[in-house]
Order: sequence, then structure tokens, then C-alpha cells
Amino acid sequence: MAGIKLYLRSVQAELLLLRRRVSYWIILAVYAVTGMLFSYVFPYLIYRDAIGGPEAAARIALAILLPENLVRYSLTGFPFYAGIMVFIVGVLAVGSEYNWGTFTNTLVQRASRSRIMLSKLTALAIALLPFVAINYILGAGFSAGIAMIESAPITWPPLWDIARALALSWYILLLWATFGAFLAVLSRGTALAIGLGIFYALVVEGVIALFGRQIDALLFISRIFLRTAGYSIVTSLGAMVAGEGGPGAFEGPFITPARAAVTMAAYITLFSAYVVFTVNRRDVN
Amino acid sequence: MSHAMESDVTRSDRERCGECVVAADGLTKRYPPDITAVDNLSISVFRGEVYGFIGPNGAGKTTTLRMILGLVRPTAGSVVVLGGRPGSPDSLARIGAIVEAPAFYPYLSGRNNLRVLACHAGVSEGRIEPALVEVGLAGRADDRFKSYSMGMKQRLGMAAALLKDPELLILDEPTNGLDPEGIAEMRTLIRSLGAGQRTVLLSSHLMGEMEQVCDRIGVVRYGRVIYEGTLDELRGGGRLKVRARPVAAARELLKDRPGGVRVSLEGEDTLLLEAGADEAEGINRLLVEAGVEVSELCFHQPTLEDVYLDLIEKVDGGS
Ligand SMILES: Nc1ncnc2c1ncn2[C@@H]1O[C@H](COP(=O)(O)OP(=O)(O)OP(=O)(O)O)[C@@H](O)[C@H]1O
Ligand SMILES: [Mg+2]
Repeated sequence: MAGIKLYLRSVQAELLLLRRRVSYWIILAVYAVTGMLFSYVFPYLIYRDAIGGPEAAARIALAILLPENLVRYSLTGFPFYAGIMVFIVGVLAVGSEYNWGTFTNTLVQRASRSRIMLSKLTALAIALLPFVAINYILGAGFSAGIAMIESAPITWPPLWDIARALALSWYILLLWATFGAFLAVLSRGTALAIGLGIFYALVVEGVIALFGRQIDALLFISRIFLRTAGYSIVTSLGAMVAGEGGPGAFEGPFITPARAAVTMAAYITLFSAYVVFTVNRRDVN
Repeated sequence: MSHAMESDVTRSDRERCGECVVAADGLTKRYPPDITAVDNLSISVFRGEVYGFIGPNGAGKTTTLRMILGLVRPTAGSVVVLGGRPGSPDSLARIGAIVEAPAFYPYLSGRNNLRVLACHAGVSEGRIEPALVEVGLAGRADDRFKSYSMGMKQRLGMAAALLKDPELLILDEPTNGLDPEGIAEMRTLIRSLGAGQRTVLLSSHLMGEMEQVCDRIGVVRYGRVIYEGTLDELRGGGRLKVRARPVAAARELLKDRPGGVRVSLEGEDTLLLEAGADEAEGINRLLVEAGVEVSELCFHQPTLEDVYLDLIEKVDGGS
């Protein structure tokens, strides 16, 4: 009981660290603004033929921008776009401790190293909630706005679908955030971790998936990619990922949502365990 | 009879161990490929004392303190801290520490930095304000850490060390970057902290400071302890400086004096003899009555710096 209370206080400390950090809010703001531009503002302007020309306009179906598709459409942004953003948050939350040498101070208070790292990961998991919430809240606003301009009906997805979508979105972000924490501990800092993570996400996953369509061995590898898992799991709620263009496009391969859920759980466990065990094991200099 | 003696020995051993707040035994830390930062180091810090840890740059002071705090694991040897394993929550809960440069979250205010530490330490936030006041940082506590001057950062480090109201304070160069006023305040603070049952383990290069606050010192060189004991033991008895003419006659007289103190010639007409201040009168009389002119007679106690430098030189000469 006393242990739980101490753990909660450590979580409180780690939340304070994230809450007061300007870069966290900047990433959240950039994510919110660009996310809405790419998923609603630009597509709608293209649809109205204000930009992009009539050919592009014909490719956009108004339906996806309307409230009834809020869940299916919003989910497509999480496996990669939002993922990369919170990957950076994960790197910063853990890697900065190395840059500032603050472990020397925090690890001699009282809390065990495991407790501090677990509370850090817990706080990180909580700090992902605003990323989920803002996407759906703004998405609801924009889709309702477009529906009103177009005099289309405003019907919302079933509440149960919304709840599941929120949970899935958070689960996907947790995968990326713990990936960031993992690379930060591995490289003992932020700069290399961000470089490696972006290189992995953009180049390694992208290129191998591309070649995977011709080479069977590569196809196998691309089935265990972070993006593959994320895009596969959102198809369970009918997310429109296989479409052409836009930030939510993914060419496959796809695995079953159940398998994706297990893959993600395995990664999250692996990354978290690495973070806790490695910080426990290493000397703090 | 022998039975009684045995139990006496056991009791005194136990008492001694009970007093021992930090007991390092054969601590060794090697860094690959070939750096031995700490080499078979053994020290004992007793409850209630201010223990000074002295040594040149790179001697292994910080590494030793990190091992005592459980931040670094020894390659060999062991250390018992407050009766427990270094770095265990139980021992950490009773230790306040500053290690090397104060490292805090730059974007947080001093106060919020302390809040973070108080949470991890499981102590009440009510302790933050008194700690800030104690180190004279209350006025700037809401400014960001990165805007602090070096001395203010050091003060925040000290406030952090005091948060837990610890039994044992481990302070690695706490006066680093402080102004003379700050150093004097720190001295007073350490003295008052060390006055009761609290134990202070302090490392520093400032010999004058160490001399004023430490009960005992340990001198390290190349990761080894080359001296451990009280300052007085290290300094020895002190010397009398005698300026006399003719110096040769004075030297003869003093050499033959009963009690046989060591005499050495320093400069053209100055003698140094190992003798206490209370012997000055007698020596003066002896010389004057024998027709030697005494133009100066003073007691000279070597400073910690003198003996420290001597010690280092001796060790270096020997190796
Ligand atoms: N992480 C490390 N890796 C390699 N060598 C190290 C490491 N930490 C310390 N050392 C080496 O160990 C030796 C002792 O360092 P330490 O910091 O303990 O010295 P110090 O007595 O605190 O010196 P100073 O008075 O300069 O603070 C030095 O030679 C240093 O280079
Ligand atoms: Mg040092």
C-alpha cells in the first residue's frame, strides 16, 4: 500500500516534468495543426476544387470528411503520423535525463531505479492521452463544420466505436512512445535516438516494405514492422488505410488485427523491459 | 577469564560497527581498458563527524562517493552505508547528496526541481520552503534553473541534499563556484549540520575550508587512501621558528637541549624546531643567557595545505 503511494508520487513527479516542458506542448500543437490541415482542410479545399484542379477533386469523396466517418478516417493518422510525433516525445522524456545528467540526482532520492523508470513510462503513457483526444475533438469539429457547409447530415459513429477507436489510438501511440524511450536508453541521449528512429521509420520500414513485394524474406520482415502492426490493427474498425495518397496511405502487407495486437504488446513489453533493466544495470556517471 | 575478554572484544566491535556510518572495504573501480579510478580503498566514517575527503584531480573521490550512493557498482570490494547496501531505498532515504556539478532540469524552477525530488524521495512538499530558506535561495526559487548563476545552482544542490533531513550528507565539492560569502555560509551550515548526530562526508580541494570544518580526513591519491585520521595527527605538533645570531651557536645549544627536539636550518639565520608553543619561553631564556641574540621567536603550526602537499610529494617520491 505504501509502495503504491510512493509509486504514484513518482508518477506525479514525472508528469510534472512533462507538463512543464515546452517542447511537449510544441509537438502537440504542431501535431494538431498539421493533422487537421492534412486530413480536413486541404482535402476539403481540393474537393471544392479551390486547389489541385478538377482531376484531384474528383478523387476525393466528400463522405470521408463527414462526421459519420470520423472514426474510420481519424484512425488512419495514428499508425505513422501521430506515431512519429509521440516517438519524439518518448525520446525527449527519457533521453534528456542523460543530456542533463539528472539521473545522478533522481536516482539517489529513495525510489528504486525500477520504480522511477516505471513511473516515467506511466507518465509517458498518460501524456499520450492529449494526442488522442485533440485529434478526435478537432476532427469532430472540422467534420461537423464541413457537414454544415455542405448541408450534409451530421450523424456520429456509434459510441462504442468511438471508445474502441480512442483505446486503439492510444495503444498505437504507446508502441511508438516506448520505442522512443527504448532508443533513448540504448543511445544514452536524444540526438542519436531521434535520428535512428526517424531513419528506421522512414527508410528501413519504407524501403523494405517496398522490396518486400518482390522478395519473400523481406516480406516476412515487414510483417513485424511497427507500422504494419499499427495499420493492421486499425483495419479492425474499418479504417480506410489502403487508399491512395494522403498521410494515412499504407500499401501493406497487412496482418490480422489479433496478430497485430499481440505484436504490439510484445514490442511494448520488450521496449519497457529494456528501459527498466538497462537503467538498473548500468553505472550512472 | 578468557571468556570475559572474548565477550568484551565482541561488544566493542559491535559498538564500533554501530557507529560506523560508511564502511568501505577494499573498494575498487576499474574502467576499461586500463583506468583504475579507485584502487582497494578502505575508509570508515563515524556517526556525528564531519569527514573530509581530500585528493588531487582524478584521485577517485567522486567515483568513491558514487559507489557509496550505489550509482556506480564497484569492480571489487564492498561498502556498507548506514548498515545497508549502497543504493538501497532504505539507505538512500536517509542520505542527502550532491555529486559533482549540480544537475537539475533546466526548464523547471528551483522550487519545481525540488518538488520532483521530494516526490521521488517520498518526503512532504512542506520541506521544500525551509530548505530553500536555509540555503538562501527562497527569493529566486521560482526562476528557471537554467537562469541561475553557478553559485545559485550549487545552493539548489545543497537544498536538494537537505530535503530528506538526512542522517548522512554526502557533499562532493559543495563550495564549488560559491562566492566568499557563500563559502563562509556553507562552512557555517556544514558545521551546524555536523554538530549533532548527523554525519557529513565532504570532498573538496579547498584546504582552508576543510581545515575549519572537518573532524577527520581521508587523503586519496591514485585511488588509494594515503592517510586517514584526525587533522592534528596529520599535522603533528607544530614548530617553533627562531631567528637568532650567531645561528650556528644557537643550533648547537638547541641540539643539546634535554628532550632532544629536531632542529633544522631554514634560510640564513632561521632555525625550525619541532617543539610546542609552551616551550618558547624556555628556549628564549636558554639562548639569551648563552649570549645569542634572538630577533624573532614564533610558533608555527603547519596548515593542512602544507602537510597535504608534503604528503602528496612523499607518496609521489616513493612511487
Ligand atoms: N565513466 C568513466 N569512464 C572512464 N574513466 C572514468 C570514469 N569516471 C571516472 N573516470 C576516471 O577515474 C578517475 C577518477 O575520477 P574521479 O572523478 O573520481 O576523480 P575526482 O577525485 O573526483 O577528481 P576531481 O577532483 O577532479 O573531481 C579519473 O582518472 C577519471 O578519468
Ligand atoms: Mg570529483
